Amino acid sequence: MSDQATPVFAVHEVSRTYAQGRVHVPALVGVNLAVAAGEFVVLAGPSGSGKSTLLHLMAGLDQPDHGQVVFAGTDLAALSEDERSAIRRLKLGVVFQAFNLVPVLTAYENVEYGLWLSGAPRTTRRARVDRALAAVGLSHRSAHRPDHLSGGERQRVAIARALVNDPVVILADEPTASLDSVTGLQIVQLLFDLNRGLGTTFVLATHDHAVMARAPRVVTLADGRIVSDRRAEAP
Amino acid sequence: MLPLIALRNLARNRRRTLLAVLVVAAGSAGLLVTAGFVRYSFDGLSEAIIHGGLGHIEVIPAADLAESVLPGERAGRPPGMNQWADVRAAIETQPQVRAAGAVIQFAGVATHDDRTASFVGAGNEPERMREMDIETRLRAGSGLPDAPPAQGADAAIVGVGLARALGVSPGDTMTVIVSTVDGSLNAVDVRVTGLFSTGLQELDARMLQVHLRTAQRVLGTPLVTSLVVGLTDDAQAGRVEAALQTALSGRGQPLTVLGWEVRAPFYQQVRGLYLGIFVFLGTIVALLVVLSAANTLLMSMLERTREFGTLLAIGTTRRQLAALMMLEANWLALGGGAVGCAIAVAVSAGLDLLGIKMPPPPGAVDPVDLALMMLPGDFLWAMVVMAMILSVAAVPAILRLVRLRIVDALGHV
Repeated sequence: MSDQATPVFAVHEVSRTYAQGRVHVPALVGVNLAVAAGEFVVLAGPSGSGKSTLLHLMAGLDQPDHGQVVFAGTDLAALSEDERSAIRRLKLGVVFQAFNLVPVLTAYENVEYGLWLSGAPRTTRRARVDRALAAVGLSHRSAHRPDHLSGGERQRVAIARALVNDPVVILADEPTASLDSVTGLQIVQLLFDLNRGLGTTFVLATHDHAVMARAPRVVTLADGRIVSDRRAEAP
Repeated sequence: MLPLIALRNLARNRRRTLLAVLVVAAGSAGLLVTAGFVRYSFDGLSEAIIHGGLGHIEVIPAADLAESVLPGERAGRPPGMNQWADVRAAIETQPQVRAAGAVIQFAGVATHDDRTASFVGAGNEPERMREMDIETRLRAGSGLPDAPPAQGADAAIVGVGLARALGVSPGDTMTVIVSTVDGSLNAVDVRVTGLFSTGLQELDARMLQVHLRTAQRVLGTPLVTSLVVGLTDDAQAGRVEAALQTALSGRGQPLTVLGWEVRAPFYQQVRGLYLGIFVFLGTIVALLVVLSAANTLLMSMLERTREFGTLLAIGTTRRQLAALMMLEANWLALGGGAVGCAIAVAVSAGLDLLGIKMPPPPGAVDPVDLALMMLPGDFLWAMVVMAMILSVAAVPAILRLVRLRIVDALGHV
C-alpha cells in the first residue's frame, strides 16, 4: 500500500453555490478534506448532500466559489482549462453512474480513447487496453459496442477506461446506482480489488449502504457540509 | 481516431445524415451544372467570335488605337497600315501563328433596285481566312472566290439582314458606294455570291464582305486597316500577343497588337452577365446548404451534449471536440460532394444524349445547345467549395461546444 500520509487531494474550505433562477442554492459550504495516496474514500450522504459537487470540483470539472482544491500540490483553479484537461487525461480516472461510454466505439475503443488522447503509440495502446480489459474481466467482450453489453459490463468498461492510463486517483460518482444489487456488489468488489492490487486511490460517491459498510473510510455529507469522517479500524 | 468517431457519429442517425448528404449533393451538383453551362457558353461564344471573323489577334497602326479598339468603329477611317506584306511576313515567322490576313474595314451605302441601305464592310483574303480557320457561316449561295477579282468582276457576300433590307439574293448585282481615301465618292457593282450570318442580328443587318482587292480598288488605296492573326492554339493567344508586341516594335510605322477579348465587348458583357448570375445562384445555393447543414450539425451536437460532457471530463480538449465536429461536417461535404459530382456527370451525359436546344440569347440568331463543359478540376473545386461551406455550417455547433459547461453537459438529459 502507498504512503497514507501523502495527500493526493487537499480540499480547503471549499464552498460552491449554484444559481437556480433567482435562488442561490449552496451545494458545498466550507468543506475540508484530505485524501492520501492509496486510500479508498467513500463520500456518503443523501441526494443533494453535495457528494457529486465535491467530486466534480476534485476532477476540475467545476470551480469552487471559495477555497481551494489542491491535487498533487497544485491548486486546480490556478491551472488553465487545457492543463486541467491534461490532468484528467493523465492522472485522474472518472467513472460515472450512467457509464457514459461513447456509443459508436467498441469496448476496446472506448478504453483505448484515453490513451489515444495522451498520444500513446499503437503498440503501447494495445498492450495497456488488453491489460485494463483483463483487469475488469472483459477481454472476451472487447469487440462489442456498449448497446450490446449488460449494465455491469458497461460499468466494467468504464472502469477499464478510467484505469488504462494508470491514474493516481479514480473518482467514481455512484458507480453502482444504475446496477442491480448483485452486479453492484461485483463492481464494488472489483474497485476494492483494484485499490488493493494496484494501489490506485479511489474517491467514490455513493449512498449504497453495502459499499459504506465495507469502505475503510467514509466521509458523510449533509446539506453541503461534512458531518462525519469515519475510518475503519485496521484489520 | 477522431475521423473514425466522426464517421460513426454520422451513421447514428442515418436518415438525417442521408438528407444532409442529399442537400450537399444537390448543392454541389447545382454549382457544377451551372459552372459547366457557363463554361460551355463562354467557350462557344469565344469560338464563334475568334473563328467567326475576329481572329485571335489583330495588328493595327498605333495611330488607329486612339480611334477605337473595335473593328467596326474603325470602318470610317481610311486604311492606314503600310508595308503590311512585310509585317505579315514577320508575324508568320512566329511559332503558333497559323496565318495572318489583311483586312480593310470600310463603310458606305449599298443600293439594289430602288432600295438603299448603309453597311459596314470588310475586305479580306478568303484563302488566308480559311487558313486561319476563320469561317463565314453561309446561309445561301457560296463564299467569295479566293483569287483577286478582275476589274468588273467584283463579288460580295451579304449579311442576311442587310440582304433582306436590300432585297438581294445570290446571283443579284448591287451597287456599293463608298467615300475614297481622298474624300471623293466611288461606286462599284458587285455580284452577290452568298448570304451569311454572324450569329448576331445587329451585325447581320449591316455587314457585307468583299475581296481585299475589291475594297482597295473602290477605296483607292494599297493600304489595309489591319492584319488579323490566326493561331494554332486558342490558349496561346496571350503569349503570342506579347511576343508579337516585341517582334513588331521599332518598325517605321508604330503598330499595336490587340487580343481578341479587347475587340469583343459583347463577349465581355455576356461573360460579366453570366458570371453575375453564377455568383448570385452560387450564393443562394451556398446559403441553403449552410442553413440546412448547420441545422443538422447543431441538432446532432445538442443530442450528444452529455456525451461531449463525458469526453471533456475524461480529458478531451475543446479544440479536439471542435475538430470532431469539423470532421463530421467535412465527411458530409466529402460524401455529398462525391454524390453531387456523380449527379453532374449524369446530367451532362443526359443533356448530350437528348440534344436539347435553348432559344437564341438576346440579339443572337441561332439557338444554343444546352450542354455542359466540365473539367476535372471543377470536381475538385466543387469538393473544396463544399468543404468550405460545411466548415462554415459547423460554426454554430462548435460555438455551442466551446461554451459548454462540463457539469451542465453531464447532467443533460
